[in-house]
Amino acid sequence: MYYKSKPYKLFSCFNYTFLLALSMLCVIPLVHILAVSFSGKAPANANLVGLWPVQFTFDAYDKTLANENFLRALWVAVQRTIWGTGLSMLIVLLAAYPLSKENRQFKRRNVYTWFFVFTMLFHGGLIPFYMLIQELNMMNTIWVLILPGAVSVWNMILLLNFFRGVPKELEEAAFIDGAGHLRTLFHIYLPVSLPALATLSLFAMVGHWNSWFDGLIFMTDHKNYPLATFLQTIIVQQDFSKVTVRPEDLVNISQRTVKAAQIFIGMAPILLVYPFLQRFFVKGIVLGAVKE
Amino acid sequence: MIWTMKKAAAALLAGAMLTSLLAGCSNSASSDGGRAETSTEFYSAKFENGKYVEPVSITTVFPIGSNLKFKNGENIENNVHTRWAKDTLGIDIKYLWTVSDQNNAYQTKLRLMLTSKQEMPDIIAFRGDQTLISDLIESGQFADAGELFDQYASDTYKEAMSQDPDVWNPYIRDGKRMAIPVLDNAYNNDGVMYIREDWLRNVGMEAPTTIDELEAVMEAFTNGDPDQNGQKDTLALSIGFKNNLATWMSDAGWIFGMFGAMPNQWNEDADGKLVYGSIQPEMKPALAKLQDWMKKGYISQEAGLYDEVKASEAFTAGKAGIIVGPYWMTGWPLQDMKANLPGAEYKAYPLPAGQDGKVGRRGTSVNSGAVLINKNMKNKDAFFVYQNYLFDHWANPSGEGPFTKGFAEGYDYAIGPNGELYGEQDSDKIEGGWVDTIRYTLTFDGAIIPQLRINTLAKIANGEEAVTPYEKAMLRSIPEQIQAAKIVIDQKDSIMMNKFTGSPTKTQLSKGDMLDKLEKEVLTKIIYNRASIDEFDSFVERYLSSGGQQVHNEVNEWYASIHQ
Amino acid sequence: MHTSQTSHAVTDLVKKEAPPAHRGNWKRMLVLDAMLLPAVILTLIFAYIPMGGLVIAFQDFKPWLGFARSEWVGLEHFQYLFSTPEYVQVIWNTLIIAAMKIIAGLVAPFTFALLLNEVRLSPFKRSVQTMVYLPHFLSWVILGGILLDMLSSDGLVNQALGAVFGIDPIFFLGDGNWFRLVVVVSDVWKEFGFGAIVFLAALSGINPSLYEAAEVDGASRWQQTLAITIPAMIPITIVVGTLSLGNVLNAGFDQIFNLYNALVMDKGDIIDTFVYRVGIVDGKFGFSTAVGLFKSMVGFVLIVAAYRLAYKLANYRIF
Repeated sequence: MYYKSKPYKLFSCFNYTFLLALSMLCVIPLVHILAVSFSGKAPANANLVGLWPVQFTFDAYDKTLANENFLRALWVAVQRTIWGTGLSMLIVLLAAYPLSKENRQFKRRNVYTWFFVFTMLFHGGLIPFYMLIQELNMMNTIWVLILPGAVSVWNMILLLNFFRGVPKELEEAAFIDGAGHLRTLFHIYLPVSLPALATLSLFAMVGHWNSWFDGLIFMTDHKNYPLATFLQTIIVQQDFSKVTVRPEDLVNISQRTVKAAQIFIGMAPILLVYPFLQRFFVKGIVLGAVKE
Repeated sequence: MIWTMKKAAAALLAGAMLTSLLAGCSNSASSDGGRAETSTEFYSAKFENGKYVEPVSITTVFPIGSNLKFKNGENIENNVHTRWAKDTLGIDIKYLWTVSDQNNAYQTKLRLMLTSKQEMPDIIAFRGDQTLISDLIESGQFADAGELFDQYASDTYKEAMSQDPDVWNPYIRDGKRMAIPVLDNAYNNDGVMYIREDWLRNVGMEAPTTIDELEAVMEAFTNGDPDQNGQKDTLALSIGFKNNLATWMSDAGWIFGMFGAMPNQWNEDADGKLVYGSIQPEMKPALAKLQDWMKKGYISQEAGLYDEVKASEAFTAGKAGIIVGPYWMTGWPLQDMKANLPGAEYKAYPLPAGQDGKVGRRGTSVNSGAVLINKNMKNKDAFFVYQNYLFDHWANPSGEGPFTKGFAEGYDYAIGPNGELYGEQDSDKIEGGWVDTIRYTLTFDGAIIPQLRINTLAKIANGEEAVTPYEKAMLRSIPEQIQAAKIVIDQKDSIMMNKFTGSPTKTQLSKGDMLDKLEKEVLTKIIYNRASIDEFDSFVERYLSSGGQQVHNEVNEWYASIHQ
Repeated sequence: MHTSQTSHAVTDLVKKEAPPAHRGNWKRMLVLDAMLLPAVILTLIFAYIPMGGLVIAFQDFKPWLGFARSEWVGLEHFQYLFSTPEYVQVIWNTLIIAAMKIIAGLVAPFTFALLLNEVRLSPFKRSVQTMVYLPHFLSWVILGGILLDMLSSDGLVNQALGAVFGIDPIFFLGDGNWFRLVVVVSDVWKEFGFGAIVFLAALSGINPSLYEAAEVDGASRWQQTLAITIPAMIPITIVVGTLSLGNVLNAGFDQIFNLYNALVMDKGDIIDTFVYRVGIVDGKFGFSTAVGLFKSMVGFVLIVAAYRLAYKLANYRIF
């Protein structure tokens, strides 16, 4: 067993240490931000908080969570994430399959592929997009949050590459058994592509959950803001060069702590979902075993 | 003024007049505010007892700032303010859309609205980037607001507007005033010098009044262990010039003011022409000073990397001993400092003078934004009915008006069991908490008479008795703020206002960024001693020849055109 | 991937046997078209229709005039871009920073995935994977402030450098070259965990029997890595790398905007920050759209080039 050898054990030791250090490096800033989120506003604003809260308080979370709009925004976010991810995955799945075929099998493949890839690079910008959404009467609906982003070309390309790695024999066998493309896709390709699908769903979910700009621009009623947009509304603008300042307002600014709390509230669900998805990254899902 | 008109008009009113009286009024050559007493056509709709008999509607849009709070299930479309407008004035305010005021969302949406042929609201109030207002004006959809103002504004409103004669400048196109300035408190961002009193005591010095004294204090603050902790961990002065040298907080503009210069803006020279501050010869000695101070460690190495807020942290965390900023800093962030450093004391002082006794302070414009009136608005006078009322009764209420205690009882004030007045400080005694209802108004702050606030605070600082409701309200400000406000007023002759408020000129559009970058790079390098002070002269030459001269000419063209 | 084949994944992909042609093949092909239909429709609507707005790049666009009535200015915006003295500097900075990011952004997650793959203790593996993924959620607004503090003359990093190596404080964010390094390193730090996910997924798809066979053949772990693991990751690396080429002129606006200052303009100013500043003074949509179009074209050309290269040289279709 290779891992029993001396040199490997040495390497393993370094490896574990290195990875631990790396993880710490990634987590420490977050610990700091977490501490800020639980700190009093005075020390936070003066940047006196280290890795532990100074003047412990739930204030920042109170401000955010107790806000009546929070639950509403949360619900909007949940909806868009679930529907958005579901729809996107379905479309990507259906599209990646044909694109993974060879030219000989599917003559128009190249045309389609470039058709999609082109859109990854060329965009008309916000103005024509806004006009389109208006024309389609999609303003202020959940559709504007779900439909435009549904075709994720990046995900399609990743998935088609994964599909290409599936042994041809499986497809052959299915075909001989009389299965059509759809059947093959859902009964053969799908089960063996779980790591890929888990990965892509994760990307899609994170994207939806953190997306705030579309909510801001396309929702005319702020009751319809998704969570990410809503969290931004709690932040007080700190540029006073243009806006009139009424000194009385300033007493209550606690920008830093609220911003910090905002990050964690935004992160929390993803943190909950990720371990669940990690299960799919199980090593060596048996691909070839079926036929050998 | 409305009341006297009303009596006369009511007598003559006969039937509803929905005809566009504006066509009638604006065609007559000699229109000024007072001509309207007898005309039934003054108001575009039947008007009686100070209100429109049949409610007249005003459509608008609104940015919802995070400091906008509602209670009792209200929202921006339906609240104590909208009800007041309807009941008291007969004006029905309708919001076509609202957006959370962050990340320039309001501005973006207004721009998008222009593209998409959406129905434009009757009134657009906007504070922020000039370019958006310019675009709105250029779209040609808005009326000659200046004319309307002359015609309909009340005396109080007109008086407030005239406190700064330059206030219309940014909105003048072809001699016409196309948008009405939204008036703000005067001197709102003018700086005073805050110094750590306890540090002064510890090093045994007095607050500086001249540049030499200042340098002595700075030396002590940097090397004399003013916080008495045995470590050399202090800075003298906190400035943050990542964005600009002369700015609204953690300002360094006053340093240049001591030499008669003011960077990042256009100043009037002896011949009445406008010149760009950052390239004037007076800048040189000031830059040399800053360079020197950085070498000596009086200012932080990071000063050029910090923006205004980040730089203020040094002061509130107790690392720096001097900071220059507005009088309202006493509320924030300096209140935080008190919380963080028990025993720390600060006091506001006048800005020090240079060798020739010069004091220069960056001025704040009284105009923070504008209101645009749609050409197609049916009842344009309604806006003025609304705004006049606020100016007459809210801006500086006298004795017995409707707003002497606040905007709405149970919202921004309440009356206690013994008749005491509960205000913002007594939020817990007001059911549901104190809510700043004036923020709901069309122009974001109701009506502000520019000089009023600072003058009142100075009055109080002088020990005069508070008589009017406004003065009494100001009494509740924290003492440090009152004191700081007094200093602002005392030094008001040292103000150097930015005189160029027009839209960017042609060359500014094409070469502006490059010139700006050049300026920032060179000035910063000089301060950081990466370039010698003599490079300033070659910089000025380069600046002028790369387009700076053209900009100068264009700016002066504009200036001349404004003063016809 | 069969045990019978040598495990060179690339050649594996190259030597695909074509399925025999069948009668009714065209009917089967129609099914494929049908499967693509939803994606095609959505793309047409939400991507291609708005693309028409690219004409703004050739107009002096005024929102209230719309596309139809705004003045046509042809290539003027492009001319402006290439006539400002700054453009060379700005484009060059963008290229350098973006190139560094693309390379580092491939190497780091790749290496990390390899290293993590060697961890056999599952809870440890999962925890590490989760922790390194977290920085992705931070915004540059917050990170900017943190970095500013950490990298200041008396900040953590300089303190450590002084204590351990005795080096004088380095003005990281005030020196052009260090600035670029900070930008790349901090970006890699932020994104490598997220980027590694794709590689980890690829790794989990490797047939364990391959390793067993190699073990039997007496290969050391390193040899196994070279022969099995790395080749399995190459295809996905090529895909990710090629697609990143599309970003060759996107050096990261948010990050640079929050970190840069006058002292590092010469080395740190990128196309996007430049366009942003110009846009503040003059809300000209035409110019920013033109620049965007320029960036897209360059990126597209590179992707096409990479695609053809891969095809010609290795008969490998990246997508």
